[in-house]
Amino acid sequence: MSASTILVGVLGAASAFMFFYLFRFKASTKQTDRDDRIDWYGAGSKVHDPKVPADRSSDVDKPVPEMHEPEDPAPDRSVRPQAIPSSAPVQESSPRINKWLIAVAVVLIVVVLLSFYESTNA
Amino acid sequence: MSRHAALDTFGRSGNPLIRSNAFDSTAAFGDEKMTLQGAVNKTSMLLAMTVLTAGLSWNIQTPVMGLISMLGIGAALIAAITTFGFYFFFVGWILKPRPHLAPKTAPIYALGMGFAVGLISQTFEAQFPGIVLEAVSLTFFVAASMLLAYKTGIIKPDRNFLLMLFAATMGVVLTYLANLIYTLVTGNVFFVLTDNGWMGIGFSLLVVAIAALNLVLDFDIIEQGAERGAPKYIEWFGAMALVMTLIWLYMEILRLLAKLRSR
Repeated sequence: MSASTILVGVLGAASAFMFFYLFRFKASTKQTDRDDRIDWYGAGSKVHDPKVPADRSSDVDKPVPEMHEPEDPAPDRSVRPQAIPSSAPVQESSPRINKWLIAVAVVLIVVVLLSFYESTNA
Repeated sequence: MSRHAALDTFGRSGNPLIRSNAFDSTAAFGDEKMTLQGAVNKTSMLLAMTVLTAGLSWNIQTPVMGLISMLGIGAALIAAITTFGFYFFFVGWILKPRPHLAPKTAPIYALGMGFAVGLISQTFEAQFPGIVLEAVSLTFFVAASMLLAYKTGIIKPDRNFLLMLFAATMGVVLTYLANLIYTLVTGNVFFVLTDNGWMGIGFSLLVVAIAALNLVLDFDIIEQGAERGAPKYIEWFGAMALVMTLIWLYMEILRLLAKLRSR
């Protein structure tokens, strides 16, 4: 195996890792807080309330009323909500399993690729 | 045609397989909502499935395997059409998109396309040893670069970007379709698709750029879905669209590298 092959392989593995790692993070506010953003899901609220009929014909380019999750009956006012930086990882169900899944996928890709290379050059 | 009318007619994505009404839903109270992490997991799972079947079709060269590969590719195409629908110009939707089927169809698509990827890659590798490793590395490099550019806000997709990319993507699709018909009729292929001169390489570079820019739209769909609390199945839908674009990008990079090597 030549040095250039190893270099290309390392570049690929590093890029794959970077891709899956970066993907978990929310985009910067520069990306998300824009007026000219493509509206893929219709100009709706964050969570659709089934009690409020969704009329989407007139809400294009109109400020959207904010809808709230059902409130806690006795909210603790002393606890201040924490600001989440735009680059913070989003909420995840099981971080440990997720990291392992990504690691296994990357290792699998690299191993299979190297086996391809070896089998064709044998 | 106004911009809004164009969007309504052709859908909201430059990716030929993503259409607007696929996303006209948000999760109701109590429903599980999609997350970015979920989409990442699904994407890695689908890519692993693709690589797995690609490895099978690469290493096992028997008539039975050939038959299985053909069935797999057929199943992948059916899965893609079932999920993303089938639109025909001037006719409209022949088959409407069914994104809620994505949790079932996405693995079928990934496994089936893996067979095609394996067969094509093996053919190229036999001619140009080492080309597959280079193409895969470059694909991930391009994808990671585009993701970084998207996340940091260097590339900001807006409606103009979408329409221009949609037009360019349709141009490529129609070129390939015309080439297919031309090949069936005459037995030849378009010069620009196989030429290893500057014209052919320039065309390949253009198609690679278009495929890479389509990744930005896939990222935007997934990002916005997670922000807006789209239903859980959109994770599979977004992952399937992303894997589809990645496979397209890989194929185009493979073709470009083959042209460069054959000079």
